[in-house]
Amino acid sequence: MAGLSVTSVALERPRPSGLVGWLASTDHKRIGLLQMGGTLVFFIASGVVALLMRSELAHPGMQIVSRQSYNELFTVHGSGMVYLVVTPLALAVGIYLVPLQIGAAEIAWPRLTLLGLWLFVAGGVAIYFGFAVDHGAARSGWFATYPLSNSAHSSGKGQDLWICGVFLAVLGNTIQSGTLLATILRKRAPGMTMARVPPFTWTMLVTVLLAITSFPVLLGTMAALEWSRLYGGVFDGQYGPVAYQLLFWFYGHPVVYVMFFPFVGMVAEAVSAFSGRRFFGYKGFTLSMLLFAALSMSVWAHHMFATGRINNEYFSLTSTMLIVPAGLEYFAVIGTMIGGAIVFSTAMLFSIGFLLLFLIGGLTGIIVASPPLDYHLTDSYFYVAHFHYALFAGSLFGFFAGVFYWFPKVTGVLLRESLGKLQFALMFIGANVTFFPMLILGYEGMPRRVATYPSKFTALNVVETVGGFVIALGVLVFLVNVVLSLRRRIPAGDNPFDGPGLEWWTVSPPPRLNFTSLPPIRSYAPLYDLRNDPK
Amino acid sequence: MPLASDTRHEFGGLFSLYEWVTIVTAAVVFAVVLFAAVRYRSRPGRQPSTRTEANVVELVFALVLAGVIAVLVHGTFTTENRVDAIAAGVQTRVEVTAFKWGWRFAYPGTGVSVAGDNEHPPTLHLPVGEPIVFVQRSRDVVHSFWVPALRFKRDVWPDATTRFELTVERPGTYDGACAEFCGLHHTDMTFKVVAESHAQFQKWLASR
Repeated sequence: MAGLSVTSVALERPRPSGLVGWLASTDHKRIGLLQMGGTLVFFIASGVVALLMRSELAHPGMQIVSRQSYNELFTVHGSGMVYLVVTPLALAVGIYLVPLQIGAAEIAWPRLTLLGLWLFVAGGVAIYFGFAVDHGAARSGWFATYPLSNSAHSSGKGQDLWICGVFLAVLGNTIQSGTLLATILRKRAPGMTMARVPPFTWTMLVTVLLAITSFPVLLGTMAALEWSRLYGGVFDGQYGPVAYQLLFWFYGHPVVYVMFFPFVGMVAEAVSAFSGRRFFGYKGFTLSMLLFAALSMSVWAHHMFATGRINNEYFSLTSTMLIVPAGLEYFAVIGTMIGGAIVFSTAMLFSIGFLLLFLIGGLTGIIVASPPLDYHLTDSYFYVAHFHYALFAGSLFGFFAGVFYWFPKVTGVLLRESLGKLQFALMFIGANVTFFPMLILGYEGMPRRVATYPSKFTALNVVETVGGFVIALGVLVFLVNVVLSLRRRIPAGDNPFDGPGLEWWTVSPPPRLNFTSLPPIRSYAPLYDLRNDPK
Repeated sequence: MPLASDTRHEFGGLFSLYEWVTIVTAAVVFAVVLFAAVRYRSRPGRQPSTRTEANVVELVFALVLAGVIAVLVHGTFTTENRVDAIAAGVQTRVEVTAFKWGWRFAYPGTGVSVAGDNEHPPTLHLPVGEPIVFVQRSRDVVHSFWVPALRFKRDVWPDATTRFELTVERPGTYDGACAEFCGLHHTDMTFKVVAESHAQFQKWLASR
């Protein structure tokens, strides 16, 4: 290895082996991988729930489940995906990658990070355990509006378990956000100034800033909600229900960006590597991330335009202003492609898919940021389409770009490109077939969260259900790819895709303390500095 | 000339502005992404550019985006002012009461009211071509009064009264629904709207 050896780590601590070595690990890489494994389990569970819902909705009337079960299913699907999949997944990727990207040997406060993992797992178990108790799981939606979620309207322990689960999972996320923030601020290798922090780590930084400022509000809200269920009072009386919504969305909007920023960062890194060039417009990108984060703390009540109880103009203005930072993100990523030498790997295809499909999520978001339009479209299937384009066709496409890009670093072996491209094709087609008709249905007047619908909506619902199963097939192909690639191993080497960041400097998979040496860090793409100027 | 608060007309005008901005933006971005992907694909001998920023272009781009925001926000604010306005001295008033899982529509001063639940959804009679003020309240949880054909919904709260004004332009029968999830029979918390001429509406009121 060329370059200056800045740190040399000789003290390898003995590593506990077997199951304990994983479950009680203080290695950020193992914690990150375990958390990703946990989110994968909940992703499959929430996905199966979604397929059940789509099967019920394939035909008007009730065929498969009861109305109450349907209400439980959409509550658990939404809660599962938000609290137990995309948010902890975003943090898990950060926990794995951030120390590697900044040249650190460890994450700050590894035991707290591990605690966050187990709190998240406990929370997930609590939410799903609702299916096993009297009256069933929670059934008041993923934001549990009050008084619907009180003890009179949502009787049974399912709702209490849900509150407990959400509290634990979000507490875990909050703690991990703190350890990631400390890691980025305090553990950077010598030479890595903030202006040399790689794009993905920058997106993680703004993500955890959002999380530590907004997540505690949800913790308080959940505690107050449980208090209201047990003893009444907090959200009863005048302004109680509207106060609940304001508090919930003060968490509920920033979390949307927590579920988005890290995936932008993954796409930025993958596009840079597969365009064979330094990430373009780094300065504009990082500044616009900060602007994005600041604005996204001030838009929360745009979920409440139809309430008639807030100042719509203010929240409409701040929401529409998000066009600027969003546009600048696209400018940087597309600017990296322009002038590059683009290799159409699976990671690059998912990145392009992310750019195209997230755009639909973003543009429909601008439409619903206008109150007179939102009066019609909110709480309709138009909305369902909007956030599935953003969260599924956006964030999860970004995640898969990251998986195909970093899998060789994590495992030392390559994923199969042919299966990856098949997965991309299935998911790209499946996402559009599932979610595009929802835009039309919502515009035509189909409300969200309904277990059946008038027969005039049948045709498009059948199309959506078919699309849902195409997506599921794509996920299945991915699982097959992972198992196959791990069993019939194609060694990848340390830097198979010629990536720019420090994570590609060390061996694959990285050792316990990540690095035995570091190259000089003169920019956010230190490995490209070496390539251009190998002295 | 459009009526004072014809929400369907107001929605249509504003939506077409947003729709055009959306379609043009999507077309431009799709075209640029696909152009970049094809034009800059890796080929033998192709060297990637070493340029790392284009600050002037980026600044101009940000200003263009700011201009788009100004146009959209102007359209939104002026439209919302008209949609949210409630004229003084409106003749027809409807008191909406929402409950799990149905609606009661009362016409103050006439003694007339209709009510129905998820098994027998009620019908809301309205006169066309004149502003109608709605005053609504929930008996239990949060509901939302939505008439898709009028492109308008407004939440119904248990702790406060919400008011709005609608005008139905054309006679006909329209679907109405609860749009805020409210529990077990939310799906079936629907109603019908029958919009008829002033004379027919008065006749209907008198017959009750």
